[in-house]
Amino acid sequence: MRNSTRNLLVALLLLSQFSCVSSNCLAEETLPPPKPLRTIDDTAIRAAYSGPKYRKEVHKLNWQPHDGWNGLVIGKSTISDAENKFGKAEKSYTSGPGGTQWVFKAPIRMWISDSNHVINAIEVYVCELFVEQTPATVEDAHTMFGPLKQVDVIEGCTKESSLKRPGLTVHARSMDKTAQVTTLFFSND
Amino acid sequence: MNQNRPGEGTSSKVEEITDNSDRSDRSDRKLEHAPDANVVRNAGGEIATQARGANPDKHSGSAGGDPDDGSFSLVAISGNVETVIAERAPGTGQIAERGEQPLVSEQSLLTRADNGDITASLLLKELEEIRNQKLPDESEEQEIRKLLTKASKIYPAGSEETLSLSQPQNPALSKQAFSFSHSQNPVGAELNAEPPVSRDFRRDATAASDKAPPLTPQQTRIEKQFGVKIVINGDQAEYHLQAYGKDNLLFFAPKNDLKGSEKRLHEMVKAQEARLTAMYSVTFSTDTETAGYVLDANLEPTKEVAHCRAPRLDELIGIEAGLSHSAPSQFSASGKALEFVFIRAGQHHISGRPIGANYEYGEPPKVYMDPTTDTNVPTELDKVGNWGRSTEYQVVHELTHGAQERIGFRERSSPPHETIEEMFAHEAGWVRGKDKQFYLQGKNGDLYKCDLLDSTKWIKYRLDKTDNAVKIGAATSAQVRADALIMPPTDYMQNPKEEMSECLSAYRLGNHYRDSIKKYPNLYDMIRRIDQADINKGYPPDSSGNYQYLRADNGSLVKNPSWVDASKGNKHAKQH
Repeated sequence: MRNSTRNLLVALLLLSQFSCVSSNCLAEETLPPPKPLRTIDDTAIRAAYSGPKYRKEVHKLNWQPHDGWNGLVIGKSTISDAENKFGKAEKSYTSGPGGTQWVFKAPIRMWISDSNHVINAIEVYVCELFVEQTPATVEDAHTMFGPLKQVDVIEGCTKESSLKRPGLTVHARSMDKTAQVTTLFFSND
Repeated sequence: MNQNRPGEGTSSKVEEITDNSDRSDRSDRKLEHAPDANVVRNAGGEIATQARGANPDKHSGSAGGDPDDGSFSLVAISGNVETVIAERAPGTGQIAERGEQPLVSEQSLLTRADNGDITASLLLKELEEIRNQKLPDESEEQEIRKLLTKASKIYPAGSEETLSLSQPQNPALSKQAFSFSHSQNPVGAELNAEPPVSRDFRRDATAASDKAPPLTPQQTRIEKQFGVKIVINGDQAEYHLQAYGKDNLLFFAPKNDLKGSEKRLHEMVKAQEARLTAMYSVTFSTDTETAGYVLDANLEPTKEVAHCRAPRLDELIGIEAGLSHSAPSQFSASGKALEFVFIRAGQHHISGRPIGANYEYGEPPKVYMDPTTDTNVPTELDKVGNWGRSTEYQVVHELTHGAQERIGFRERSSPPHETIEEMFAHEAGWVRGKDKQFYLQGKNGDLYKCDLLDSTKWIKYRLDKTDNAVKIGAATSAQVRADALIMPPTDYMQNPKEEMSECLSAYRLGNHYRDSIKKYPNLYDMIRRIDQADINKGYPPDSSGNYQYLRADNGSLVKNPSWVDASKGNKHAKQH
């Protein structure tokens, strides 16, 4: 028993020194426990999407790709149409597949063709501003834009799931019925 | 899952979109508008330097010592007597850059390889791999030069005479002499100077690779189980641990006392685990635990249960080194500390995927160490050339994924509605297509997209007149990296998330690791601010905005003397 305690003590003493020469500096080097991080405050968005203004819109829209979103149709509407609706946009970064990204003051991004200025894709962030045009939850997305199919994309060791139908991809925090929808992505892919 | 954050961007205060086209300004502005605007911001270099200089507790991160020279010591304490049994010399915190010295020739490596030098053989193999990649001439020449420079560090000028010896003599790897005395040593003996039998302690060395007496199957099992090396010296068995670039003699015991030695090693493992739990709150899997179901290639659980094992001693040393560069990323956003899960040999966490380690978000977050990491060396200083990875590096890399989650790198800002991931991607030379996929830009405007399941396979695209991406061929990671407009720090860059991890790893490891990103000042600055954002998440700045901790040049955390502890109302800095 005494031997065992002695062995343990020796092991502890030996290994404790991998971090420090002096025994009394160990306490100084041990970091204090960090404070828990802030949590996301989604009170405002939850309040907006629980009101009657929103509930009225939650019904089957019989949406088709040629309906577009908010009057803008992929492959037809142009940057001018979008600016007339949402105000001036700014060109963002360099050109990529589908054109260049343009950003608006409102939480929308669009991919605009550099050659003919036609909108190739629209990304809409679900927020209070679009309470009448966007679903709040996965369940509501199915109701409004269904039928939607869950698609899993595996990249390395991570899997990202989204809801899809031709012309539309819905992203949400999870695939649970009550999970918050985060973005709607309209494109002709 | 896209983690864009709803509820932002439409508040009453919508920022003016300016027409400023300067990339640097744009980056700053966007980071300021990001969810972590208050934390992802400048921590002036001067402040950091000043803080480091004034910090009385400065250390090298991996161990005690000076932060600027990277020194460290492994010391045994007996009573009030401290005995240094291993030291990293000043300036060797990383591989020290030497002055101009002649490069080792390929012929010289061939001669060494012919003489049975495994290191030279591996260097030649790497040289062949570079040539097989068919890189552009300039890049190939550059890569070969880098390799020969590395070889020159392993075989410095004047070491040619060792070619005639049958045992490779590598100054960086050769056995060190130790002086270890311990009055309470159960064996009761004193060991002084190096053992008489020369032994190769490199990662791939085995008992058969040197002239030491062969080990019994039980001794070999103990070596594997605890990550140590046993050298038989007469009736004694010496137990060695390769760590921090040196051979460290742990203890010696009668060679037949395997039970006693095993018990002692087990106690060392437990002691090191307990210490890491006390310092960093992390926990470890045990030999009796299971790790849930093995996942299939689609990340769906199979019926096979994954069995865990306890970490080895060398792995724990590597984990400690990694944690010292990563704190406080070992905590989840809600403050739960990380668990290291070691999967037993013969199984995988994800079946059919050639992965080493992977970080999984959750409460608590977990880092799964696959059996493919079993051959890792503990720290970066133990690597021979750049083969494989060390446990230290893998821990640093995986914990940067924790940092990404902690700072909400996929949560969007107010206009221009970008996530930190997208801001990084822009600085690192990626563009996002209308398919929402990221493409890495080449020097001549070509675009590259990585295969989702195989990070080494890339497709090369070119935009046609209508902005459609047209496939024009395939490429390897090395070719893509060589042609990248902004060259990633390593070949592991299949998407911005992983490249950000590699950049953060380089920044957190510090010193020469940072050179690969320093040549892009905007990118470097962004990585610095992302790291500071993560630190600030755990250790909030004071009411004046002074950061509590800063990342030193060598990658360790140092207290900022300007930070005011609100509870005490005075500056933290000690008087000395």
